[in-house]
Parts: sequence; structure tokens; C-alpha cells
Amino acid sequence: MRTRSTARQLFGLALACLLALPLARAADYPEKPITLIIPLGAGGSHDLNARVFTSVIPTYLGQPMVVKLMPGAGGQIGTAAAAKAAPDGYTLIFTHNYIDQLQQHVEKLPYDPTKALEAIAQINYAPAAIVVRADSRFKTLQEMFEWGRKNPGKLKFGHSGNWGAFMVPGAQLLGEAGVEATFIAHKGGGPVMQALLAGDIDFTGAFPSVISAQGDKIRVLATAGDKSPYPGVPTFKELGFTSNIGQMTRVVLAPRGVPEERKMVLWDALVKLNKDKTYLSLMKQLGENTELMSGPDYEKLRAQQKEAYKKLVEQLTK
Amino acid sequence: MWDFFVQGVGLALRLDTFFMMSAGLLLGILVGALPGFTTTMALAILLPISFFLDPLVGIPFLIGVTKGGIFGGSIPAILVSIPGTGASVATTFDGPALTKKGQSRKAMEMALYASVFGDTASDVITMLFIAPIALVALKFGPPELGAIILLSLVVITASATGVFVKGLIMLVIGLFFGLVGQDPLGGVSRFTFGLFDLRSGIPLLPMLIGVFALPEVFEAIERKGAAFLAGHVAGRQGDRLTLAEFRRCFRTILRSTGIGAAIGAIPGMGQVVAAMVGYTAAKNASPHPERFGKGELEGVAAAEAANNAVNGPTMVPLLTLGIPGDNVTAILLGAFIAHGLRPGPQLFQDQGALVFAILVAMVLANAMFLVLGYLTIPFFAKLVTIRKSLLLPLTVVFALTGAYVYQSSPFDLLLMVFFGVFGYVAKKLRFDVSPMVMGFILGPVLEYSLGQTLSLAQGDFLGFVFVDRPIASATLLATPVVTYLLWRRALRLRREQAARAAAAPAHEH
Amino acid sequence: MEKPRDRLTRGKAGGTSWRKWSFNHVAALVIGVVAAALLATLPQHVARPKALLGRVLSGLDPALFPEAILWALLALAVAYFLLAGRLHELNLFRTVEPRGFVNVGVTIAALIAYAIALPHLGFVATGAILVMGLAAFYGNRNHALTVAIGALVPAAIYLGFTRLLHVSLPEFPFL
Repeated sequence: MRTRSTARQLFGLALACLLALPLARAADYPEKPITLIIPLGAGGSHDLNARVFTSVIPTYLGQPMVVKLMPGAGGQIGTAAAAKAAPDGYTLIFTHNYIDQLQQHVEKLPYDPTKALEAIAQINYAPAAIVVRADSRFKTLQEMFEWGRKNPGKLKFGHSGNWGAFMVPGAQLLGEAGVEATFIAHKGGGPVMQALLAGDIDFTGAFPSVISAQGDKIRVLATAGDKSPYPGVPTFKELGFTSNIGQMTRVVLAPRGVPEERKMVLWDALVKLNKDKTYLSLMKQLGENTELMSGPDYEKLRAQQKEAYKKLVEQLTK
Repeated sequence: MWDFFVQGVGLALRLDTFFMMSAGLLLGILVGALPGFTTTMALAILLPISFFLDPLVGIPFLIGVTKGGIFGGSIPAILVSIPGTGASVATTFDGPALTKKGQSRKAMEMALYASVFGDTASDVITMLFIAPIALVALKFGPPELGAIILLSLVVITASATGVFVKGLIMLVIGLFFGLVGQDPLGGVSRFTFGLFDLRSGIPLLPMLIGVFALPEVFEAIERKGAAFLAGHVAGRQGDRLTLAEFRRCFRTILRSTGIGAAIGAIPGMGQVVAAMVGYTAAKNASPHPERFGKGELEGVAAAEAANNAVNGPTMVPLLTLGIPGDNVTAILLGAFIAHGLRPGPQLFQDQGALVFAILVAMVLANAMFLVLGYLTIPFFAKLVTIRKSLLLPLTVVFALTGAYVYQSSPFDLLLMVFFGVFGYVAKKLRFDVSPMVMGFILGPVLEYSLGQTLSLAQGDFLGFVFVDRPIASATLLATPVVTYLLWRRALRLRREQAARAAAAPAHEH
Repeated sequence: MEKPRDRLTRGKAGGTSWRKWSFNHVAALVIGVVAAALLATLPQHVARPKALLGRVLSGLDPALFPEAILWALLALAVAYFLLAGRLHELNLFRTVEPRGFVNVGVTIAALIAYAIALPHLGFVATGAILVMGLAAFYGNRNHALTVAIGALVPAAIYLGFTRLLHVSLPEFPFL
């Protein structure tokens, strides 16, 4: 009795496999869930952004998008997995510019990010700002850097991790201003903000959502971007810094070679997503913008980043 | 403060809050019981659900998942020695031995009651002392964390089972395994032996599963094939926890709750450390430390009360400073801000009632937790009564799945097998692996905080630590004293044991 | 539930047996040799720290902790070796029957094979083969039950993880 039912189950399974085969045609893409690799851990801003857009996008794709967290080694582990994946449009990676384009200049990688991956779209970007504690003696960025120049190595710059979203802009600013500071690494944006509040460090970077949550406990000295969202606070550009500093772009990349029509399916879904009310309101609550940028446009930016980071790393580590 | 509390109670008493909280607990228990699937992952996946709910429904839902998940992780730990989440690692010390005696139900009930008690008590402590806890959380910078870790390492090593020098060796080996990967401060590769997959370091869960679950499987299959045919790992698993047993463990539960809550208040420590320290303290306080690790109910109670007691205080930095202390609270932060609530000093002043409503909901969740846990335990207890020749392969598949899903990496499976063999050899050669796990977990944090402290001190290390950081220096000064006390205790116990053995040699069969 | 007891549990320290060569000596030697080898080749295992703006990136030399840990391990191995003669412990490997080693060896080989096959055969197929194979090897004679459980449990885990929990597992290559 039991054997027979098992045999029947196996037969059913085999039948199901056979029936599924002819379905795998390009025109029906996507016909199964799409895996979205995140090369970072759970709970960060990247994870949060991904959760928001993967919770809404199935409406427009017709298939779920499954998040696969692959943290480790500054994003290299997840990126290597994406670079190795088949270019069938079922494996994507949600990453940011520093992991994507900067890592190659500081570490030997088993992949070439530009050759192995191509951009599907930029989802949004986050401008980093330089913040100090509200009772800090530094009222402006120039004042702080002036003090730092006079006291080499005394200024304590806390950042959220090496070659991360605060460390890079911080290093760029300090490098351009010719200030020698002590870099103090922390494990993420939370611990570094705590260190700032506790008075362990002099300044750090922060994103808009964190800045508004801290209210009057911290002071913003300067911010990335073309226009400052904080009243009375200048942008880096306005202060005379030349390079494009401090924009963290969150992008979806795919292994290079995904068929053109599949990329279009993804792009169409993202365009529709960017008009979705739930998505827009959730992103607004999170304090994130929704500056969608197409893959080809982002590729141009990516090429610029590659050059800029190469120069930056050469300058910083010479 | 009192007004906020009263309003908070009013806000929290809602039927839909209750319902979703129960759903969260149940999901948490089930998901936590899946090995390799951590509470953080469960939360991350369920987070979008909370986006579409009222904040006072969605956030308690996620809190339910957290609480349920930590208890759920202890289920496979007790049944087949697979820590479902890292937090249940200390539960594998005594749980599986109880299962072999046919007492898995008893052990799970103890785990449940200890979890619920530890959780409730820590929530109450949190509500009463939210301001001081917030202050402690802020005062604990890198030097304090480093000092505390040093102290924990000493305490845990001194209490390891077996020969002292072997315990120390395992600790140092654990510290060494913690070095593998990119160094925490500068990001340079260390001991990767040319393997790219090792750059991210040795992952915790595959190591824990390898070290604790596989040796159990290997030991079960050491006998001849014929022994399996009729074999069951354990017979009926019906024994219930008695009131007397609970009462016997109550002191331990209280102690572990205190330890867990204290560790929860320190950012950067977490449930794994709490469970290990709670277990160690129970072993040290017991008149029969030799029974620990061989199926002592108190061991389960100590670990489970401690890891759940972490929950309350870890919420404090999030609620009062807007800073998530760990991954779990980072995800909760996401849930808060998706609702337009920004945890931090601002939220606490403007919406104190809401904050207290969430804390009250946490306490209420525990009542539901008790009921739901109670109802699910008999089902889990049945699982281990299946034939050994099937249970063991299934255990292996579960262990492999757990090691894989943690980071979706096939390489981790090989690491798990490596640590399985390592754990098996260690067991056979009489090494206790728990100091190794401690060294592995705490070593990188110690190096990290030492490096940060050096940077902060800007050249004047001693001056900085002993003048500017009183908490750190006090802890550092206490370490040798504690070491001395533990050492004297160990000597005394050994003498007593020797005396007992000499007095009644005929009694030992 | 009888456990092999240590011989000489109450052996007098410094008695005649302390000179006896035991597994503890071997373990101490192995640990000591590994620690010494790693120490000797330390520069190969720790990459050089990067300088940033002319300063070292972190206040702590990345080779400091490894060096301290390995020296500690070496010192402990020496101490362990010297103490080994006084430890009267039974090597538990001696209690394992030869057939036991075969069982454990086969299981380990099966686990390694699983790890290698997983990305190629997919989660369900690999899991089914492992469960059925091990169950048969461990002496389960109820083959119908083995096949049923071997096929159903991995499939159930697969569906649970991928569909309900949205965690991706290696799929069938043909689906």
C-alpha cells in the first residue's frame, strides 16, 4: 500500500518536471522567483531599502523577488557570487557604488566588477553629511579642519567601516583639505553614532534619516549633493571641494549578458514601481529619495566612479 | 513617567495587537526551530508585513517573532543538538543529554518557562530603569567593552570542564579561528590560506552546528550496524516538568535573568554571550558542577533564562537614543521609521505613551508566549521518537541545511564538516569545546575594541583608560581578583571530590 | 548507559605512571607544531596593513593579535606536554569499535560529497540521496518508508524555505 503511493508520488513528481520544461521560454520571463543578492548584513539601510522595494515589486513583475543576504569581506563575498551567476536575469545584486567600484582598488578580487556585472538601474542615492555633537566647539567644517591642520592627528574621525559610505567621503574631504586625522572604524552606522553622542569621537558621517531622528543632539556641518536639505548648512561643493563627494548610490546590477528583453522587463517593472503609492510613501517615511536612473545612464556614472576611486585610493595610500 | 505608563497600557490592550503578536510568536518559534535560520533573518523577511499594519500592531508582531525565535532555537538544540540560532548554543550542553534520557519534553518545558520568566523580568526591569540603562548603554564605549570581554573570557575559561590547561588551549584555538578573514579594523586578510571564501571569516552558525551537532551523530553511529535496527535515540518523551524541579532551578533562573539583563544593557555583547555566561555562573554556583553537561535541567534553565533576558535592555538604546545595538533592533528601527516614528530622544519626549505601550506589549507577549510554547512542545517531543536510522540522516540534512542557509554558501558546508570532525576529535580526546566557541565569538570583539581604544587614546593608552574611563579600569582591576577567587574555588572542589572518591570508592560503579 | 571509566582516576600524582606516553602528549605535540609552523610563516598569513594619508589605518597592527595568540598557543602546548604525564585520562577513541570508524568515515565522506554535489544537483535531489543513502547504510530495512521520507522531507524543507520564507536554496537543474 505504502510502496504504491510512494511510486505514484514519484511519478507525479516526474510528470510535474516534464510539464514545467516547455514553460522556460524567454517570452515568459520571469516565470520563477528572482533572487536579489545583498552583499551586506541584515538590518542595515541597504537591507531596509531592499525590503521595501522587494515587497512591492512582485505586483509589477508577477513573481516574487527573494532577498539573499551574503555579507562579508566588505561586500566582496556577495559580489563574487553575483559575478559567477548565470546571466539569465534570475540573479541580481543590490549593491552600492563603494562596494561595486571601490573595492577593486584596495583588494585583489576574484572578479572584475565592470566586466562581470552591468547596471540594471540605480534605485536611489543617499547624500552623506558631516555631523558633530550639538555641544561641539566646531561650528563649521572650515573651523574644524583649520583646528585639525594645526593639531595633526588629533582630530578623531569615526566612520562606519573601512572603504564604506562615511569613510570614503571623509577621507576625500580630509585629503583635499590637507588635514591629518585619526580614523576610528566602527561596526556600522549605529555604533559610530553612539560614539559621537558619547563624545568619543569628534565627527562622523550620517544619512538624512538618522540626522532627523537625532534632532537637536547633533549638528550638521556640511552635506553632499547639489542642494542642501538642511537650512543654513552648506554643501561640500559650496565649500570649494572639487570632487563629487559623498553620494552613496544604491543600484541593481546583473551578471553581464542578460538578454536585452529581460532587462527591459526589469526596467519596466522598476519604472512602474517608482510610481507606486505604497512604495513612494514607504521610501518617504524612510527618508530616502526615489531617483531612479536607467542602466545605460548609470553605466556612464560607473565609469567615472571607477576612475575617481582609482585616483582617490592612489592618493590616500601612497 | 507614570502617566505615560498608564496611557501605554491603554494603548496596548487591543485585540488586533494581541492577535498579530501571537502570530508573530508562533512564526518565531517555528522559524527559530529551523536550524541556520536566525531571528534576524526571520525578522528581515517578516518586516514588510509590518509596513502595512498599524505601528502598535506591526511592532509587537515583530517583537513576538524575536521572542519566539529565541525559544524556537532551543528546540533543535535540545532534541538533536543543533543550535537553531546562535543564542541556543549553551542549551546544547545539557539539552541533548536530557533527550537521550527520554526527558526532552521536560527540557523543552524548562526552556520555555525559563525563557518566559527571563523575558518578562527583563521587560519589567527595562520599564523601571529605562533611564539608567540608557546611560549605561551610552557610557559603554570600546574600552569598557574590551574590559568586560576580558573578564568574561577569564570566567568562562576558569569554569570549563576537565583539565584547566586543555580549557585554555581550546580558548586560544577559538581566538585563532576568530582571526581568520579580514581583520576587523584595517580590513587586511589574515589566515585565509589563499581561499577567497575565507575572506569573510569563519561563519558562526556553521561552526556551531559542526562542533555541537555532528559529534552527537558520529557518536550515535559508533556501534555496530545491527544496533540501529531496533534503535531509537530515546524512548517515550512524555515526562513533564514538575513544580519541584522548577523550584529547584528558580535561583538559577533568577541569576541568569540578572546576568542576561546586564549583558543586554551593554551594546555589542548579545544573546550568545549571555547564554554562555549564564550557564557558566550556574555551573559555578552549583554544589554539583560535575553534573553539568551530562543532562542537568539547571543547565537548560540557566542558558534559556539568560538569552531571553537580553531582550528587554537591548531595546533601550533604540528607544531612547535611536541607536540600534544589534541587528534585531536595527530591523525594528526600520519598522519604526517606516511608520514615520523616529526612535530617539525626540520620540521618547513626544510619544512616551507609545514607547510604553510597546514595552507593555512586550510583557503581554510573554503571556501568549507561555500558552503557545506549551501547546507546541508535545509535537516537537514526538519528533525524536522516530527510528534512529531515519532520525540521524534527517538530523544530518537539517544540520547541512542550517549551515547552508546562513550565508547561502556551499563552502560553509565544508567548514561545517571540518568543525564536525574537529569537535568529534576534541570530544574523544577530552577537550571541552565551549571555551573555543567563546574565544571565537569574543576574540574579534576584543581586538576591535582594543584597536578602537588605542586610536581613541592617541598614544596615551594607560592614561586614557585609567583616568578617563573609570568603568573600564574598575573592570580591569576586578579581573585578577575574580580569577583568583575562581581558582581557589576550583582547587577546593577538586580536593572535595578527591576526598569523596577516597572515602567511598566502592560506591562508584 | 555505561561509560568507559578512566583508568587510574585516583592515580597518585608523581607516581610511577607519570612517565607514561599518552594521547595527551601526542595532542600537545601536534598543537605545538602547528602553532610553531604558523608563527614561522606568519608574514605570509597576515597581509601588510595599508597606510592612509601617511598614517596606518588602525591603531593596532593586524599582526599583533595573531602573534600574541600563536605564542600563547605554543606556550600552552609546552605546558600541556609537561603536564600530560600527570593526566590520567582515557583516550575515548579506544572505546570505538573498528566498525564505528567505518561508520563515521562513511558519514563524513557522504557529507563532503553532499557539499560538492549541492550546487550541481540542487537541494531536493542531493538531500533525498543523502537521507536514503545514510538510512540504508545505518541499517534501515523499511525501504518504502526510507524512500518516502527521503523524498518528502527535503522537498518540504525546500518548499518551506523558498516559498514561505523567501530564502533561496540551490534548485533542481532541470526545473
